[in-house]
Amino acid sequence: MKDGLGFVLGVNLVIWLGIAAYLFILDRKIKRLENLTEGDNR
Amino acid sequence: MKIVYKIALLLWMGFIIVAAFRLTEAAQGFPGQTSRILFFHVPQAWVATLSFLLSMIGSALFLARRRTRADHLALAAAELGFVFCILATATGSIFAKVTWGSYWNWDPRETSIVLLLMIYGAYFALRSAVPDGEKKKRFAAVYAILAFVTVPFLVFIMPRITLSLHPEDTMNPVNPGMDPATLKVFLGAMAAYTGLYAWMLRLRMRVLVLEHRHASVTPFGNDR
Repeated sequence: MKDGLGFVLGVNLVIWLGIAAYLFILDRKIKRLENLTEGDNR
Repeated sequence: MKIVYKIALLLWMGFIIVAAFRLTEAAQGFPGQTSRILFFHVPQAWVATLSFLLSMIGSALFLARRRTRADHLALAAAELGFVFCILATATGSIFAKVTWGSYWNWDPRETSIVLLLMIYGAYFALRSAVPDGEKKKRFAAVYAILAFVTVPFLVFIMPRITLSLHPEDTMNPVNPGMDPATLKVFLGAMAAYTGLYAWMLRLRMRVLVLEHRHASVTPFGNDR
């Protein structure tokens, strides 16, 4: 692999893992809010 | 969206990123390794176009059935389309700087994407400007449908009827310009970005439903 490409690949992977982690956390927060509001509505 | 699909998307996108750098060769005729931006820039533009289409569909459904959920789809899709359009513009500008020496060249494709950003920026301005809930949704729906009329012209037609710096199509099925490995990774990237978009759209719509629910139960809810 060409020089420097490994670094760019690594940066891309870190960015993607960061985005995915954020989406997972957001998903859980929204789920918690949905359960809360459903509880309030009953 | 089930957790198994999210994990599959996480792994798939990770694989695509690795494949973009390790399993493909840089294309001929591009400086250095710049052609690899193809695996990121084109899927972003594709997702933006798809998103604007979904916004138009949501708007049409809202006008036909007056369902709030359709308006949620229209708004969420317009927002995400805007975000991916900005990403496509940014990645395209990086490519332009390396390839043509300047971040911006008023190339037809660059110009058309800016026009798209302005057209959909006006959609959000319209939604903010109209105070009444039902009227706002109707005006926004009509605007989103008309806005999408410009998309095929700006994305597919205008860059092809004028001279452009933008690289020739490498997805022409009659005369494919990509080697098989690049084509496979490219199509994989398109699928990965589409999956990512579906997840983000679903999250955004769930938030809009929650906001709407909250606004319905509180006396002075802020109706978007």
